[in-house]
Amino acid sequence: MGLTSMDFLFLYALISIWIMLLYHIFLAFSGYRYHEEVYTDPEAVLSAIKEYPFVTILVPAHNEEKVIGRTVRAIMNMDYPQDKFELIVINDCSSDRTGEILQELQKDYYNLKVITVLPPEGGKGKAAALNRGLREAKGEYIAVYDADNTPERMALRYLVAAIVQNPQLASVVGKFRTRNKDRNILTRFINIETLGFQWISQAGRWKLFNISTIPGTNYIIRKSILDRLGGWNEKAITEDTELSIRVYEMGYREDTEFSMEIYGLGYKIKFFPLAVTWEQEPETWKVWLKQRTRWVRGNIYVIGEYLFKLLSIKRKIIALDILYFFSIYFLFLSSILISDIIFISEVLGISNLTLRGPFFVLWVLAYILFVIEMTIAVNLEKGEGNLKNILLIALMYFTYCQMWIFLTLRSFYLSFKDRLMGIKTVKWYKTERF
Amino acid sequence: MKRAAFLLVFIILMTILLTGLNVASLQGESLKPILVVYDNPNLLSRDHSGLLNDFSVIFSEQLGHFNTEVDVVLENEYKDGMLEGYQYIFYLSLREKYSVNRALLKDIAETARPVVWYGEGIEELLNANQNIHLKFRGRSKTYHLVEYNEKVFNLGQNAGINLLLEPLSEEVVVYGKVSDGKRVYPLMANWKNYWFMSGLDTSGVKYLVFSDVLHEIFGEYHSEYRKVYLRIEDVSPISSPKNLMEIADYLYSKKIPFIIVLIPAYINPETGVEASITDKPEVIEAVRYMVERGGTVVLHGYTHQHYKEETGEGFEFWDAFEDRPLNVNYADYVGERVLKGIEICLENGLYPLAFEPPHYAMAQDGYRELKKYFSTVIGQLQTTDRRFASVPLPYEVRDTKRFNRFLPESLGYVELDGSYGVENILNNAGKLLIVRDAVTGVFFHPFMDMEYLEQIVEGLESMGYVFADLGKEDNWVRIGEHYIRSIEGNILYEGPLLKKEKTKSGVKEEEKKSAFHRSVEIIATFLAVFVGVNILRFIIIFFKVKKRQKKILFKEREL
Repeated sequence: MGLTSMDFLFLYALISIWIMLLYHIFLAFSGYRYHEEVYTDPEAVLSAIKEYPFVTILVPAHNEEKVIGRTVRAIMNMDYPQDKFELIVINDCSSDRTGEILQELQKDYYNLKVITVLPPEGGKGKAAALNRGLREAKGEYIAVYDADNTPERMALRYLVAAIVQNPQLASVVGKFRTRNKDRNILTRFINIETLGFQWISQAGRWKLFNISTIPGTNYIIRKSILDRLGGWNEKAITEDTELSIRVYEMGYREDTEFSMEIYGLGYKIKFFPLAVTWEQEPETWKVWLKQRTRWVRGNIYVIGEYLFKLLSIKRKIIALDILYFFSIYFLFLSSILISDIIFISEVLGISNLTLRGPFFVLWVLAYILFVIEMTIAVNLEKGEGNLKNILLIALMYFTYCQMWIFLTLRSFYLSFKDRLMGIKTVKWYKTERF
Repeated sequence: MKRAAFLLVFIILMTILLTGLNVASLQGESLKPILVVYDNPNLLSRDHSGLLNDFSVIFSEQLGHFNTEVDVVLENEYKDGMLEGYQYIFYLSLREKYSVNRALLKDIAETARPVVWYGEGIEELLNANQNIHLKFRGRSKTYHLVEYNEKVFNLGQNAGINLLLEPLSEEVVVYGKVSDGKRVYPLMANWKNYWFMSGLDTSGVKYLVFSDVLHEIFGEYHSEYRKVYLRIEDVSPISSPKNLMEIADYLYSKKIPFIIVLIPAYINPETGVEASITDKPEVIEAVRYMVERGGTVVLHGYTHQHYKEETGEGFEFWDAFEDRPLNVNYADYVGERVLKGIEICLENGLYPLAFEPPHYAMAQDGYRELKKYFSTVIGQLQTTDRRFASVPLPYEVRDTKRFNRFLPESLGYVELDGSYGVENILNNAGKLLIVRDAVTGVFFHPFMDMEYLEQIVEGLESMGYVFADLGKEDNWVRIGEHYIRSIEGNILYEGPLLKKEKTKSGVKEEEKKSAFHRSVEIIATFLAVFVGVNILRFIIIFFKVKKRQKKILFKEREL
């Protein structure tokens, strides 16, 4: 053969990387187009609601004394008829003052319900806590917020307005912003990252394929669907991603509740950025690493669960989405590592790459592409498209993104180790609050 | 302040990444600066076959075997302190009866740098620096025995002049000895930073000893590995395909790689009609057959003739009648001939990887041109334009004034009349074993009896020579729009002359390979353009959104 082994590695890396980058170009354009669509007349959607349905808001809390008070108040102050919603906080085995604070708050808010779960029943993680809350829920719709969230006043109205109008929607997902973004460089990076994720991946996928993923907070979902699915999967580390896939699958299989038109089309999860919540992001790298490791391991779990069932997945677009996840974690990551190795061996002069082409130009273009796509995403939020953020994005490529590589490798290692040792326990992976 | 610091980090990161690609070229061992002073440009050294060469050229090219950077200066142009800045001083002195340049003598007598004194005038230095533990005992032509590394060579009548040096203490290290059967003197002697070469030999056994001892002088200890490049010489449109294929079969069965020295065109001396291998499909087929069996094509000129001589007989880059350079502009002439030769090869799916000047004859201007087009030149070195003569070097040299890479030939060939036979070749090879990492060549004409080839191959193998494969080494040829490169045993070609015709495996694969490489390049270029266009679209979107946000902001203020 005329190609050296390094040529093959290089081609593999080049093709994998550029398939992903090209896909993201389309996502970024679509994300921008969705933004234009949503923000032309934001009020119109609200006027479509004629009757407000009853909604149960679930907030799982495990040692949240620092934030729970503010969260409850923010939820209670949302612009939604007081008699049309209840807030259930599941106080799961808190050993701090969470219970006391909630008791205090109950004096002010009649529609605040507190479920206190104690060992041995409790302490089994977020999914278990949500399922516990679901049992007591009276609402036709269930909304979920994390205990550190401060939703904007209109958030719930937007979520409800969106879901009631379209029976095909199983769930509507709002946008989350970073409350403590100005704290330090890490929170600034996270702020940019969350905007990039939501405007490119979530908005882009919604616009292109009507797919998005439940991110764990600030979403509304039909209770009927949750009931039929048996609630959240208590075994999954990231119960939200897992739930998303099951929702898409279920809608396809059986749906008798609605008209025949919907039957066979399946349910959708809509990303709807007008519903906004502000959440607290990690302020130290250690906390960041812990939280993200959990996410990545959750994704590895999902990939592991569904990858070999890809062909049996009814909705091909979902199979494609899982494949995309797989590509990010396996193809893209391995390609990045390979291309780093090739780059180093080129520098050391020990490479025997025979392929030629404008590869350096492509590398520079990939970098510019990253910067401009993220800049577009960030710029969709008023005031975020400033020079400081653009410079941060330029820096992110070499710092924050590289930390992700490390993080992902570490998560793979941990998942592999656990699998070897047969550990499967799910418990609270709680993110430390500030 | 904080912002400035982080901006700085960002800029540094970018610079490192952007310059990273150039780092590779900065690596490699540093070169030793060397000053070569020689006594007289008009004095050409006479080698064993009576040919005349400019020894300073042989010598400075030879130093390309080591990590050196050579400056040459004439003795009478030497000025006080000129040796400053050099790591080694070489003084080449082949002329008797004169006095050494005073400034040079003084500098050499006082310096602590390594000095290599080659030949005449040693007694003057020993006078100028009486600390040196050597005594000059005169000159003699009768010291015909040379001993080196426990081997003795008898030079007989051709002993040559030897300067007799007597070591005065144990501090003198002796490399090689000369003897007249009674008395023994050092061939080379080293005392502290001084090295002396006492034999006035520029090509024979004594010179080979000197060539080997250079490894000690420079402290570069190369491997004990002697290579020979076997060439099938003067393959041309009039060669017999049958002979060529027989040779290929034999060498293939012995797993011996070889070089096909190809003359791609032929001009009939009587009719003046030009014929190229293109007109001889059976020859092309035979050459491809050879390539598939371990042969590597080397271009041997275009027609191997300039005047109306027989192809393979005539000189192409030298006026053999007047014994002077051709009356042409070498800058154009060499390029034209090489381009024509390369293109005929390419048209026929053959990929030359090096050049061998016909008869090794090349004007000095011609070398300069060849260096532009070929990574590798094989054969012998012509040192001067004053008359034709060529010399081999004992080993491979790189990055010298004349060559990127030069692979010398010194063993010879079997002549048609048998005047220079296998015995001579093996005799030369035996002498060359003196040099620890000798590189040489041997060649064979396809019309000769195969038996000679078998004898040569077996003889060299039994002496421990390794048959080197030029095609497995990195070479390149670049001329006009054509770029041929060999890397890891693969031959890559870039350029307009991709062979499309159905051919046999080996050659065809190379073409596919190149086609694949080209399509990767084209796709990558398309990708770059596509991405560039999309980046522009993104930038437009960015400013569009910015502008609108500003408008909304004003509206909000007005409200």
